[in-house]
Amino acid sequence: MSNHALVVLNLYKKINNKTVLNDFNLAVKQGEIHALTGSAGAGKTTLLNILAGTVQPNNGTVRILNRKAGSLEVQKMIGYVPAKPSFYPGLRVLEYLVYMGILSGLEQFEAVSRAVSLLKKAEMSAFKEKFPLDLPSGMKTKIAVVQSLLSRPSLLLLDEPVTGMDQAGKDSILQMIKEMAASDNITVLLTSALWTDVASIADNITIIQDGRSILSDETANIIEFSSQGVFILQTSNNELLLEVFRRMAYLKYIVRSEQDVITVITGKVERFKKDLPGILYKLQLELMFFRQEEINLGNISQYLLKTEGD
Amino acid sequence: MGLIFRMALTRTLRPKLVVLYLIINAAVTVVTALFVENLSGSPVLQGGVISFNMYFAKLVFLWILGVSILLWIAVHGIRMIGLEKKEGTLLLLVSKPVSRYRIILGKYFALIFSALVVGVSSLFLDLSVIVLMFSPDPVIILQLFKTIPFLSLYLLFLSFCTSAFSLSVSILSKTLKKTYFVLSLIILFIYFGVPLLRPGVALYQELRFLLYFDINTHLSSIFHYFLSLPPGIILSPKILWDLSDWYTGILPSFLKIAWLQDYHIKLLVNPQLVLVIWLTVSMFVLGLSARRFNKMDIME
Repeated sequence: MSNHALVVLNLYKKINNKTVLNDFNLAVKQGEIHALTGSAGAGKTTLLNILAGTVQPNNGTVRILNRKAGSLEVQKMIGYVPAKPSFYPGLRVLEYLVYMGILSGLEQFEAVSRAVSLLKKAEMSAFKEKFPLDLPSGMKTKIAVVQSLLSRPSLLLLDEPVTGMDQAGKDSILQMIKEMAASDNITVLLTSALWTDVASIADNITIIQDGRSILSDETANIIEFSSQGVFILQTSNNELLLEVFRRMAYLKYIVRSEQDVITVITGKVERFKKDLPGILYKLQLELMFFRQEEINLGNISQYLLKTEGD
Repeated sequence: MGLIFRMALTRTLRPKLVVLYLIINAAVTVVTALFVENLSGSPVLQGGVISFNMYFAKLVFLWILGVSILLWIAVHGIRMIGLEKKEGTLLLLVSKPVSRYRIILGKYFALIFSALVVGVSSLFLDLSVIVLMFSPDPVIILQLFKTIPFLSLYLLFLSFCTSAFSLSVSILSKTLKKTYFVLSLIILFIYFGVPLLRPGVALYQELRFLLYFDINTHLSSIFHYFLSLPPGIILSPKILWDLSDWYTGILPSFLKIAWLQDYHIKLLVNPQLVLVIWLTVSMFVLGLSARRFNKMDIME
């Protein structure tokens, strides 16, 4: 795990008696851009809050660059952008950045020069005397990203940086994040409700649902996965059928739901359709229900809910 | 901590806000002065050094360094954390490598400093207004201005304690408006409700222990202590004790219970002891709240 910038093990967090993170696990390698996606209330923001040290977990281990999360030492190494970038009403862009820079541990002159140089890099020098609250949301996000990079962090946490933006805005922000992360070898963990929004820059994607990580893989694999077929079936003996399915290497994900329905996801759609009758005949099973569905980038998580195991 | 202090101070001492505060303060002073002057049908404020000093002392205790400054501290104390919570900047602030204790201390000292600035400014302004209105004897003017450093000490004590309480409330409260409302009611209750209840409570033997918790008496006791410090001030002990009782003496007089009129005075302990107790209690409350803030989950 030494090459990991971030390791989260068995993380639990309850808020108002509701379990927000439930045995959550995650590993992010150094220099990687990792996207965390899932629907609203899945636990993405809470996880980022824990990593940023603003929320304390109930249980579990969080290590950032081999140090325990939440300490001031770790906070020095983190850049954080909340879902709703917030600004002080009376401060102009440059004043705000300098204030944040000093809070992040920079000397005043260093904060000024760093803010000026980052604004230039982000092509936002013209806005340094404006009030951030008067700017459109895309600009606010850019300023917030610049703010998070002031202290040259090793880990950048971005909470929903492109939510609610048009495609041009999304592309602009993501490009900026990618370039800045690459130039300083920064590890990035960003969240998004829609993974398609961030797939263009993410090396890896983790899908979170009800506080659990239900799928974590390379972006390329997930895109490939999304083109696979989904089969939902129920037989007279699902237990027996599951044993056989688990021995079939080309069935990538096999899920048994609480309603005793088996969901199979595979890229070998035709092969599975050909093999299934033979298996049922051999096991003397009666097929009670069968349906094939299309899988797409937006609905993977619904198939992986209540997963029994991959 | 210095940066948090400066930022909090800049947000609190906004010029427009300070000017508005001073104008309202002076306006109330003018109204009360006119009211007192015309109340008895005789020129009360030109009746001599004692009556003028007495009026000024009452005005300061009840209004300038009373309800007015306490409302300032309460409102800004609540805003210190509450507004940042509402604006979302608190989340960003606590994500920075700054100890949460330092955040609280920076804001606490900024609140005290802001109260000192507006409090002392309003003392000078209101005193000048009174001088302009009534043109008292230069001896009186000199004496009143002499009290300002000692009244500033009282202000320091007041801001030290009430800033701690209002900041603590700010940490623990969830809604800004309700908190403003409740704290304002508490302040008004201490200054106007408690003295009215005092004689009633004193009538019942079994309730008299409550008089030990009479915050109004505690404050007036400490106020008297500081006001008696400047040399050469003509303020008799009678006037000092009457200061906090003048607006509540009606009920005991009406009931013709002579001993009740100064019952609470007998309960007064050493003002220095009261002062130390309140400083300790407020520091304890602030410490507990800061501890709570340190472990608090801050999220959007």
